[in-house]
Amino acid sequence: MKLPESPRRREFLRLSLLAGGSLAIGFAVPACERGDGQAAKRGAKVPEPVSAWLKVHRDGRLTFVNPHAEMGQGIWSSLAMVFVDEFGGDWATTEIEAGGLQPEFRLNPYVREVFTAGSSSIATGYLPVRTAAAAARELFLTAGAARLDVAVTELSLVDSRVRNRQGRSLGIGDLVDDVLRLPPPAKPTLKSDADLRYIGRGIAAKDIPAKVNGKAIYGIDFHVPGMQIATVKLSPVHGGRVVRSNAAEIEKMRGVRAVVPVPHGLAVVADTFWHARRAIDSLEIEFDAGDSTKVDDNSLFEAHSAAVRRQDGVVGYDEGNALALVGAGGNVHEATYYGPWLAHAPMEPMTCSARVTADRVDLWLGTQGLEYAANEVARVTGLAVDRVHVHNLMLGGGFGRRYESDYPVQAATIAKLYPGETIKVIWTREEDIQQDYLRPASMGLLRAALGSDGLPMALLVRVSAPAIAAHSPGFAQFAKPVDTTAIDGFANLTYEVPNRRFEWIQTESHLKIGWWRSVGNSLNAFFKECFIDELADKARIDPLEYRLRMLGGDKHAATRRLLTELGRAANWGHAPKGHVQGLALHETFGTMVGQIIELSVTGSQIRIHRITCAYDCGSVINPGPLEAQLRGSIVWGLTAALMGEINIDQGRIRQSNFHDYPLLSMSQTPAVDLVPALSGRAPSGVGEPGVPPVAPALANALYRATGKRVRRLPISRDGFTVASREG
Amino acid sequence: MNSIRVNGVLRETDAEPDTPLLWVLREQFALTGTKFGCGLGVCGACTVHVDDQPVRSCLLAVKAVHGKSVVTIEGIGGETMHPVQIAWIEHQVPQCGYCQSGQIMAAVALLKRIPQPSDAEIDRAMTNLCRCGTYDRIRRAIHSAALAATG
Repeated sequence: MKLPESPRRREFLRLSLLAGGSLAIGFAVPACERGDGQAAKRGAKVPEPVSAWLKVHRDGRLTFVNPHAEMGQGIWSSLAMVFVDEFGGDWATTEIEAGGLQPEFRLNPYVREVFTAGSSSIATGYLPVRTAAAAARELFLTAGAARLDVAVTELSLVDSRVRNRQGRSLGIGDLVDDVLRLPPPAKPTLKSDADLRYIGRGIAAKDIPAKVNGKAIYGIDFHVPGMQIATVKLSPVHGGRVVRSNAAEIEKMRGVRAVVPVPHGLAVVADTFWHARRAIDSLEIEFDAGDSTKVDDNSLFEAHSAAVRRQDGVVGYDEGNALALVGAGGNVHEATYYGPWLAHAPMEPMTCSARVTADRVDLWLGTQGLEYAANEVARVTGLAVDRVHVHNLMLGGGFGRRYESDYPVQAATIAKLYPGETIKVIWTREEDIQQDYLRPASMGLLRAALGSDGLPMALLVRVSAPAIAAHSPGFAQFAKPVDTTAIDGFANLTYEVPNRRFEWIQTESHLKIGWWRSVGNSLNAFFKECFIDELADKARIDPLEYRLRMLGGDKHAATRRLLTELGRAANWGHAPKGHVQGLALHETFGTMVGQIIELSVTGSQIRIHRITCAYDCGSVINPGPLEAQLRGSIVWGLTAALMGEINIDQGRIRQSNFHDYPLLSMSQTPAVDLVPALSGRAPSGVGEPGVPPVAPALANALYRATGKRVRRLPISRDGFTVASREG
Repeated sequence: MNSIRVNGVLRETDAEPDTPLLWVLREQFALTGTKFGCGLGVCGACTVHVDDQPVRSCLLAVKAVHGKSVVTIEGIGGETMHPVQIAWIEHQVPQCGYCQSGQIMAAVALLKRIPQPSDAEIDRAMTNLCRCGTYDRIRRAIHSAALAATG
């Protein structure tokens, strides 16, 4: 497989001795140490680089320090596996621990923050981890060669022992002191594919046994003796403030210690969650949210409808003469699409424990935004960011929600009132949904002029959407001139269209918006792939063939191959009698995914028979989690497309729990066939790319069955229900 | 005072009688393997066994299990792992894992009732929600555990 290009910056290995005698191996990147992160921008002191990606203990065990949050994507084991494979370590005795705010963990060259999001952990970590592991291996081989008095070329490092062919070996624990005296290798040599044992093949995940026997510790499970429990109620209309409440009465309830203010609401601090919950449920709060209470589904839809009619949007790209060509008469087609607000609803509601003293904060939580949390908590506690210690625990789902800093800030705000005490904040499910950072609704107007060959020779795309990137300090640079989330999937259109123009009308509201699995792609793919199907229909060309015709040339060879493989695997065009098929193709964060959904419709009931999903993520690093993520993201996408809708009434979210915000169940989950179509390039991620094609593939299939275009999600709006899978 | 046999051990709690069993288990007995997902009995993350029956403990008042026997994920395996847990590891079922305690408890109860379930019977019994979408591996692991039981 091809490796990613070496970044232009200089990298070097750093060795140090930890208290207790273990060797710490770090991979320090000078650019990080200059403090290019947000903390440095605000003049805060950047933490001293604590160089530890790998710890080699005297007894020969390895500890891999994982930079990333584990939220079910398997990165916990995957990245450790990459290190151990390249290094030559013993997987059985390798342990993994969560990293903290370490500058070398700012692995994304575009966003100088320690975070886990954007399907980027393998893409950004793979080469640095392999390079560090190779350098470490060479150090141990060099040390071993000196001790055994042989040439380095006679030795190999296997299962944490330096061995020669005759069977002499030394454990790596015994070589720690020798290694410390060596200069790190300038340019380590990575193993060839033939010498790899785990990369590309897989490994038993280290976190799974504890997730099966109840021992895994999530944020909600963190416990210290004497800790207090808090739960919260915030203004249901986002941005509102507390006017008055019956807090004084509630403080008299059993187990309640106090009712205290938090941003936009109140918290009950108590001795147990149940005491806190009963109190919060009895708390009567009057909020003031001003004009935001006038906002509802209709006003939001009207705002978007007016926005996409405007001619003065911010231009994202303008190639050729698109505007004129789609305005001229002739064979022009236009359609407008709309998708609703959606919540994340991870299975573990938001939760964070905090302990604040005069000179230190400790946070125990599951977070995707480790550095963002540390920065914001430093701000509210008035301490330097190097005094904030983030202990990243297992996440009960992330999906982008756990990147936000609101819940750690909330915990620190409360804990600050009780110096030295540990306070755990647990949100109710109702609060988790009502205070989500939503996937915003957005609208897309697409207009194309077809050439004589039936293909679009000009395409105008106008998207009305809010600026998602703008709300996160670490990503705000990507909000101008066009918010990257609004143009995602159109900037990288894939199809060859000679005249293309993109316009963004920024349409904001008071509602909290955030990063929802696949972000802007989640609706832009629906706009794009439904529209392409409509054009294919107008041109009377098969939808798969239509797409192939727009993917000519060497540049698109891999995509053509993927599409062809997909069609073959799904038996495209040869569905059994009564079945119809719909197709969609979309690239998300560097990974191309094509899906064909085969279904039948009886009255208003949809039965999905099969979903075929072809993918090109370049190369496979860890096949188990890769497949799991693709399947899981299809379930996620189906839930959204079939029934996902957050409604806004009088400025507030209507839904509050799984009875009115249902998730797809096992019985509703169809069979999925995965079809690898790997181009062999450096690996890209698979956490999100399986989501965007689902809605358009479904809508395109439904058209075949009903003759009606779905231009607004979810499908349930048109009265459809989804039947249980076939037995 | 309510008295419950939890994972074979007699335990007592002075939590108010209408406190959900879920929170008594998690906070009084420090058994955090059983999870809080919704508090409404819809998601199933809080599933435990009460006198061998699967029950959603977020809706069950602790007074209702006075004198009864409760088994949680921590106790389902006994000295070694339960065959369902072994199958769960073999098939690498969990992703984030938060719902999996409840899934396993529901699966164990299903297999006790129907040792060789069909896909349709699995669908009907396994109504626990999984936001990560691990459903197909849950199904395969249940079939594996069922097969293993036939020796």
